[in-house]
Amino acid sequence: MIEYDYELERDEQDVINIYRPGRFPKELPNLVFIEGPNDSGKSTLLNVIALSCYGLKNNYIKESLQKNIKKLVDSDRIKFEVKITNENGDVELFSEKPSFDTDEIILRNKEHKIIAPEQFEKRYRLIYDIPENPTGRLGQLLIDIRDRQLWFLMREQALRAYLMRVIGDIKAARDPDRIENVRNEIRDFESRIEQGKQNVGALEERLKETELFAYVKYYTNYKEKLEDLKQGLKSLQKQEAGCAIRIGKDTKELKELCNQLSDEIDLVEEAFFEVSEELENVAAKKDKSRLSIWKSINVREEFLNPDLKKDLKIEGQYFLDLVEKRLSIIEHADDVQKAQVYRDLLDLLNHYSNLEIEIPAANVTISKFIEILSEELEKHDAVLAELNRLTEAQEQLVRIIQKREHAVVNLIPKIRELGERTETTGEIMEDETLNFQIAGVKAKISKCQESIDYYEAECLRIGLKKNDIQTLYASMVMGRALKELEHYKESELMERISDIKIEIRKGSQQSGKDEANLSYLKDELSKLEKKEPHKYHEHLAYLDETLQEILRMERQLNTYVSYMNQLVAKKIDKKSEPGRAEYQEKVFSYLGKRVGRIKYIDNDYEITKIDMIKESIYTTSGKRIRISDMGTGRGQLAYLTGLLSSSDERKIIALFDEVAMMDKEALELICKKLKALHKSGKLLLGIIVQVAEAEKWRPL
Amino acid sequence: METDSLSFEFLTSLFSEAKDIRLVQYILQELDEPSIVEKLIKEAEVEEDNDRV
Repeated sequence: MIEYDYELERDEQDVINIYRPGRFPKELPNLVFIEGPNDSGKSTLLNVIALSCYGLKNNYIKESLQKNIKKLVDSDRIKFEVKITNENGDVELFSEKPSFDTDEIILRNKEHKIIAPEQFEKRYRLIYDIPENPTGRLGQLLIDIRDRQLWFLMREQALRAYLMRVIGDIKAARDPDRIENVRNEIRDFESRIEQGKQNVGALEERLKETELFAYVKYYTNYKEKLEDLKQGLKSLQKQEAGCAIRIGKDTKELKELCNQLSDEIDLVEEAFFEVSEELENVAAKKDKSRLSIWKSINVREEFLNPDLKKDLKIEGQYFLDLVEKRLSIIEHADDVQKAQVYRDLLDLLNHYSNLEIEIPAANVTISKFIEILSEELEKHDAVLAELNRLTEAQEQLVRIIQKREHAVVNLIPKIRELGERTETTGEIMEDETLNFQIAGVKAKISKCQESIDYYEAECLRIGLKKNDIQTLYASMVMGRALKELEHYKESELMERISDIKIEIRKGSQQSGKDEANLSYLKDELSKLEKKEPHKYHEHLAYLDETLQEILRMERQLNTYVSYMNQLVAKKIDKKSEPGRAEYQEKVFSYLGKRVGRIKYIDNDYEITKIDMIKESIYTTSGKRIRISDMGTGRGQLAYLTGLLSSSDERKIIALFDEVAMMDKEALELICKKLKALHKSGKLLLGIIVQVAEAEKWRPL
Repeated sequence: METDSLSFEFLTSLFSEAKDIRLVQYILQELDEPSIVEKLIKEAEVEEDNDRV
């Protein structure tokens, strides 16, 4: 039932009139058909009800009707009360505008609580309509569908936002898997740090040994070399004391030969010093006496007295044989051959190290193969170093023997011959060659002294006193305590020391980084362990997957909204879009289902679809009816049926004015629809108004 | 035809996956977001149990 009352104050220029309901009862059933002449107050009743249900804020009410409702408050002054009870007799809505002077409309629900316009719109659907251009307005049903689709999209977006928040919360909460991962990482770092410390410790030990060996060995070697050089210097100075060598008229040639001889002696002295180091390694116990003879050789004296002194020649040949014998054994050893093959392969592969090519059969990439070969080659470092040193010793011994032979056979006899000749002519020449030689030896002494000073300082740095060096030399170098270092040359040992220092520094730096990471992870673990787990933790993967699906749906819905906008605007994009035609078909079919049946001429048809592009209605019997061919009443019927078949849960308040242009049959169909809706609880109020000569009303 | 089922039929016709259709149903039922998520999780659990059987 609807109970209503109102007072309408209208300024008619000559008089201000007050209108009240009078011609129709103030209590009417929920479904009612009202007839009456113009100005009998039936449209005012519909306007008052619409106003009481926030009709001024309803965008779906057409403009002409909006103007009529607005007039009640703008041009006129009104106060009213409208009470609508439902089928159980409970008051469902009560709306009032208590005085002329207030603009406020107070609408309450059955709990007597005020309902705001937004809340009202959420629960009720106010349909207020008047037949007018029904053909065009059938298209408005599309707007209804679009709004429903937008509402759905909005809800879907809210669900997506909520899901994202839940996933974020899960990730921020206690995660047992993450905790386990962090614990594993901590264990790995602890183990790496421990391993790193052991590695650095081992390297420090190796550095200590290598430094000790190198500094002691070369301090002692340079000391011995210094003694030899000093002896040589004395010998030269003795000659210098003779002031000059007498030479004959072939002075120029003699001078050149003397220079040549001096150069040869220098080169042999250098080779002699270098090879002596290696011979100490090569010489076995039985060769010790020969080694002593070798070490006592004064190169310069032997060159100047080759007839008397022949040790360089005899012992040189002896040690050359010894070196070649050892070289032959090493060269044929399996591991040396293997190492040489590895080295050759590495030389070749290093050109292609950047290529990600897999080596057939080996099934590894080139870079991995290089890594494996390098590791293997490293195992043979010592033996390769020995091979190099022996090869070098062999070359130096050959050079010493050849140069001595060249001096004895070619240079010295010529010098003597020229010397004798110049003696007979009595020519005398300042001996510049001798001065030059003395200066050279002095330079060598100075260089040698520098090396001694350097090694002494290094010995001190590693905590070795000068007096202990000799003892350590005997035990470490001569006693062969560090055999693997014997084969390295001085420069190689220095390089090795530098490499070990670099390795130690790298190891320490890595340990520092690992310690920092470990500390960070421990903090992280402590924070993670303090957190509470999220109730959906174990569903994280499923929720992630659901989120992806919702995002996909959202993209699809946005596309559909754009297709729908094209339909509403009747501007279909010319370019083909995937799925658009299919979507349109679904919309047309849905429209058809919403309108359901239609009367055309004298027949009743069941609609399959309403194509809003072709502006045609298709029926199950295969008929196509142009919308424009339909009469106003029929078109209006289709529109109103579609309007009443709205697709949401809201209760409908339907007010239809001026339905006279609809025929009796169409009107009956509308009434039937209203009754069905009321019966199913979907319709709260349905009022149909028509112009007639007499005022009357009847329930539907 | 019922308006709700019409609306449901139209919106579900836009999607093909079973899970999408369930989502359409929950949204049309005007369930709040936490309830929808709760329902989805329960369904997933039931499906998992069924798979185990």
